[in-house]
Amino acid sequence: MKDNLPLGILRKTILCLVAVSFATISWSQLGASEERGQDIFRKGTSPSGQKIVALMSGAEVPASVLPCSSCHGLDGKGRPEGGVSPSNITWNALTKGYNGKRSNGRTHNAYTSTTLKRAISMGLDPAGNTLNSTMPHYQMSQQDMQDLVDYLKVLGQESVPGLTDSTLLIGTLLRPEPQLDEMNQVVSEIIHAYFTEINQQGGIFNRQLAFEPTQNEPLKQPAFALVSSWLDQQQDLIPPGTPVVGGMAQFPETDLAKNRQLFYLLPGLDQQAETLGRQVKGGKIALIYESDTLRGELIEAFKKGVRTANVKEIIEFKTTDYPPEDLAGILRKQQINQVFLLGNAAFEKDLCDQLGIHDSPPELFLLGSFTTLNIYELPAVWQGKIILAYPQWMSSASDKGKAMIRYLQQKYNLSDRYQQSQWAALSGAILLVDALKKVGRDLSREQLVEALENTYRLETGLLPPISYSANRRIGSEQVFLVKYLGVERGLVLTE
Amino acid sequence: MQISKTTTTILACLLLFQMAMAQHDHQHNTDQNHKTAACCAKTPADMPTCADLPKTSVKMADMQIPDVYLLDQQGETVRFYDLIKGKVVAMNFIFTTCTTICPPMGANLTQLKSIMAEEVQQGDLVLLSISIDPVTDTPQRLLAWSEKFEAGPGWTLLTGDKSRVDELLKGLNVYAPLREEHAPIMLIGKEGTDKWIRANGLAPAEQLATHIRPLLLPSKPVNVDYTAEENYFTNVKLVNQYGEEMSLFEDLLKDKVVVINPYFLSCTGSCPIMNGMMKDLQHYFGDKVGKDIHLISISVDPEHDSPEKVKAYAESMGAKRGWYLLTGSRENIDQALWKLGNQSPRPEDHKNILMVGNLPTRLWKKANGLAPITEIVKIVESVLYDEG
Ligand code: HEC
Repeated sequence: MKDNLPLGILRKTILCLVAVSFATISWSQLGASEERGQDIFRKGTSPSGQKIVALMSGAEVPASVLPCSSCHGLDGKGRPEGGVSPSNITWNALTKGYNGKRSNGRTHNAYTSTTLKRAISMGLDPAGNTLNSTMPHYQMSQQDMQDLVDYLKVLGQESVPGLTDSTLLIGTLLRPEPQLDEMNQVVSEIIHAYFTEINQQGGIFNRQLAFEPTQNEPLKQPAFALVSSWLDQQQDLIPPGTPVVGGMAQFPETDLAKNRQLFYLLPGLDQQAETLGRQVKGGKIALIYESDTLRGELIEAFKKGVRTANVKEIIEFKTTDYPPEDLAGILRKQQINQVFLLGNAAFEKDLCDQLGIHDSPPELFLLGSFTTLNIYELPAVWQGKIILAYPQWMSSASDKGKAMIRYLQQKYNLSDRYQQSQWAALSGAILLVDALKKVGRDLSREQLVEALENTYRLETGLLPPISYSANRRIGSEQVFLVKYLGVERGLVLTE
Repeated sequence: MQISKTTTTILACLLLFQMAMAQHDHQHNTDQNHKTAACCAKTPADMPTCADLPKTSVKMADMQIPDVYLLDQQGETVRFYDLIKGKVVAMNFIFTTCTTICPPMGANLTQLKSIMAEEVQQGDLVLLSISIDPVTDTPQRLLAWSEKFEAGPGWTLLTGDKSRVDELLKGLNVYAPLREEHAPIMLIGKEGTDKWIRANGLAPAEQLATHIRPLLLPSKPVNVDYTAEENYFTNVKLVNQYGEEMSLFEDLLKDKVVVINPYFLSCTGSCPIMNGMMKDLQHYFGDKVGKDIHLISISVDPEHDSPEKVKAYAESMGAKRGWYLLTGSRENIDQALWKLGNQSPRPEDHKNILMVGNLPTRLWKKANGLAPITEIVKIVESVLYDEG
């Protein structure tokens, strides 16, 4: 499998183009103790499983409620809020070699391991001054305390994956199916072309963007972030903590507890099905589907959209229970006037052919990006009878957006096939660059995620405006509904 | 490589999707002028709009509490005023993406809750956290946030439509245009009184509790020695609208805050106004009427105002138990009126005066029965919340 990857060539070209060395980066430069300490610092829990409690003005809570990073920041520099200013606790700041005044106005010597432990457990600085009562007192095992102090000594000096002084490595996840190699190539090339343009303009805060695609295996070097046009089956290849700006997924993981790093551009199939359900007008509707869990979920999403007020009856049919011609007869006899179809290719075609024998077939709802039915081959009576939902549509691109992609395609001699995937991939890259620019030179992944969360109506020129928030991970929630108007006129956006 | 059936289907779909779009692009590459459906941004909550709400607000100390509906952490619509009505309240102001001061405030509130567990459990002390970032803080987010503290029931977290929440924050004088600059305040007080303070929400919970305890003291001293009152008022018998006999001191006055007005049925001047006012008080004080408060209307024309007539009249006014319309023998009525300092030889001469008294604390006030209801409520509340 690995050997016949056409990507081999692609990867080589790309890596040649961006002749950057990442020799300085390794996965993690933290030692075992420091790594455990990092966990305590960031999450307030001990990898050893031992309890850590925080005491604050008489209240005792699990330290996971009050991890150090929530006040001092992941970088240790302090996050002032509401008049409370947690100190800069990077080792540099704590051990400044003079006995002068500190930022908080107190005077004390440089910290040592011992005095640092005392500050953490008893809230006293080296001179014995009581720290502000907002700084909790922590109780933890000796080993955990040692790990934490070990980590505090390197806090702020850790390397950030994919980041050097002069480069920023962005990866992409390609579709795993060998049939899609051409599409993968096109997607990689457009992202790469865009990054090359950015680099020619000086990069991002004096860092050049390096780019590495991967298909079925983890990236060779950890990337700072990933950009992807499809995100479905590649989840396992994403190293934990890596922000991913992705195109679309059939079922986006929008549970923020499970995923804070994943930013989708477009709505998933469930949202599309629900929008289709909302188009149901009244009378009787049949839901016809092959029973598997995926389609089952889509049927449920569709039903969620249906406003039951006017609907007389919703009848469900499993494709395995009826041959298409029988089912066509049943639908006619029951005077079904609307059908939501989620079958396999052959069944869908046979059923539509059968229903098309008569003059007025029912109105047909399809998920445009899911169905395998080639509507252009159906009998003419279907004209004006089929509504399809799509997550993106040509109409959302501006002249500027189209001009930009044409410019890139011509300048870098790229294919104009797979337009949709190209648009999504390029939009993802634009979004990522926009967010990186917002963060500035002092970069961390957490800040990138925060910047992405603060994206509001970003115009990529290719997709509808993209917005995220602390609760939102689907950039555009718009679902496009198009009507099939026959072979000549094709698909037209409904009002 | 093994390709599963779903993979193949998805694959085929994907290719067809690209084809359909490409074909479409060919045929309709100028359809960008089509109107696109409005982006379906979801509003955080469906709740009664402005127009559905009665435009009232309650004034307390330096605060003006608007009548707003919010969402609690379970996603239930709640009326803010209903949460605090008649209660001792401790509330802080948080948002879930605030990491430096909000978790300590949450921990503090949790600690306060365990210190005052009994009062919270009995519903005497209400603990609230109001989100100052309602756009981000959905009920689910608030629930997840509060669960970290393992606080259990008895702590209500509120969010809602941003304009409603802002209106409330402004009314409470805690609104900060920049949420990062919000101060770690805990607002502590007792609804219905002007006893409100702004404490440091980061102060030790035990210290916060010392502000709360005095507010929780029963407003009437227990074990009052009523001998003098009983001797003075006596237990002269009157008849209420249900035809039941009631003793003046024992059944009507003892332990209660009372509002007393004279009336007679054939009076067309001030009586309807005064009784209308009693009706408003009955509505305003709700559950307290009958329990803590007695509304007492005494007929000054007992010869004509028979219990049957009074009954019909009371029904027409919607009087419930706790608002007693009394009549009786002339002799008894006169004695009662005399004792209550409101005796008038002729019905027409009776004064438009309300007597408002707190029997346990022995505080008595007079009110002009024809004053605006808001004035009267103020006087009644000042007597009701008198602590002796
Ligand atoms: C709730 C917020 C909060 C949390 C959580 C917190 N701190 Fe602090 N910390 C503070 C504040 C505020 C100060 C400043 C105290 C002062 O100025 O008196 C401080 C001060 C310190 C100091 C003293 C620095 C100096 O200037 O003398 C150290 C060391 C420290 N914190 C370490 C930690 C560690 C380690 C953790 C996690 C185990 C932690 N803190 C968790 C708020 C917090």
